[in-house]
Amino acid sequence: MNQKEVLGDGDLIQQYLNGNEAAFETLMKRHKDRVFTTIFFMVNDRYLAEDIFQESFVKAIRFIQAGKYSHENKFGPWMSRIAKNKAIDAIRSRKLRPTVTDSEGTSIFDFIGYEDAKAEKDMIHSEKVNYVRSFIHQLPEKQKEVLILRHYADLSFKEIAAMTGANINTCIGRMHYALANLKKVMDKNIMYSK
Amino acid sequence: MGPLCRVYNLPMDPKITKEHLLLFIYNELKASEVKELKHELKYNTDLRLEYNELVNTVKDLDLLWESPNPTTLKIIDEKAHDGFSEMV
Repeated sequence: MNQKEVLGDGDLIQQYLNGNEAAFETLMKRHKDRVFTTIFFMVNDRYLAEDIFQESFVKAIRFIQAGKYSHENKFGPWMSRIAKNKAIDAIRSRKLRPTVTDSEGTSIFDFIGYEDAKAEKDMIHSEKVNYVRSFIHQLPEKQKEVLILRHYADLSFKEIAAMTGANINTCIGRMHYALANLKKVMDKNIMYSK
Repeated sequence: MGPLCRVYNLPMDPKITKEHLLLFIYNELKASEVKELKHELKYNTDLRLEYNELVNTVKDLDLLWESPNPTTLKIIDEKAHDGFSEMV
């Protein structure tokens, strides 16, 4: 196992500041999916999510390089806050057209039934993905916020409570309701019940 | 045990709710509480069923993980290296 894989985030940042160029890459790879998925859920646009993701990490780099980063708040929650604020800025400043796109930026609906051999399996998977994604976007805003921050941004309920200003018990309750509602939605669909 | 057990260190209550299972799934219960919950899961079939259903629902969320484009990562990495060059 690569030694950098077991180092904590704070150690990697220190190594980066000490001249180890690869340390930041390791740090970014560790957090990329959490940060990107969180942004993607907020803006629902892959290209915009890529931009915000890049801006967020560049801001983090500049902050770290300036010696302003303190590991007291942990890198993950700190990075999530930067990304969340950037996404909110983007939502406020642009008219966003809600789209669901794949990595090529094409509507995933265009590909349903594209390959006959695995069409049914792919279709079921794609539809299930669409159901879950659609469900999340239809959640009440506060439930959606907790679900994204807890599951995708990997913040603890305590950290979410601090970030949102809500009571920790309320955050847990919102997550519970969101999951209970998701289960109901999934159970309703016969195709996915097996 | 209440949902705030992790924060306020409340004693374990025999009544385990879905909120406790949620904290367990997201690894937010203390070690001692995990031990007690695992014991309960071992012998309480209703609770185990509830736990399995919750885990399956959480797994559905895992269908939606997204990764940034490798090009985006490369650009960020270059900026990190540029900054590094300026620092040293």
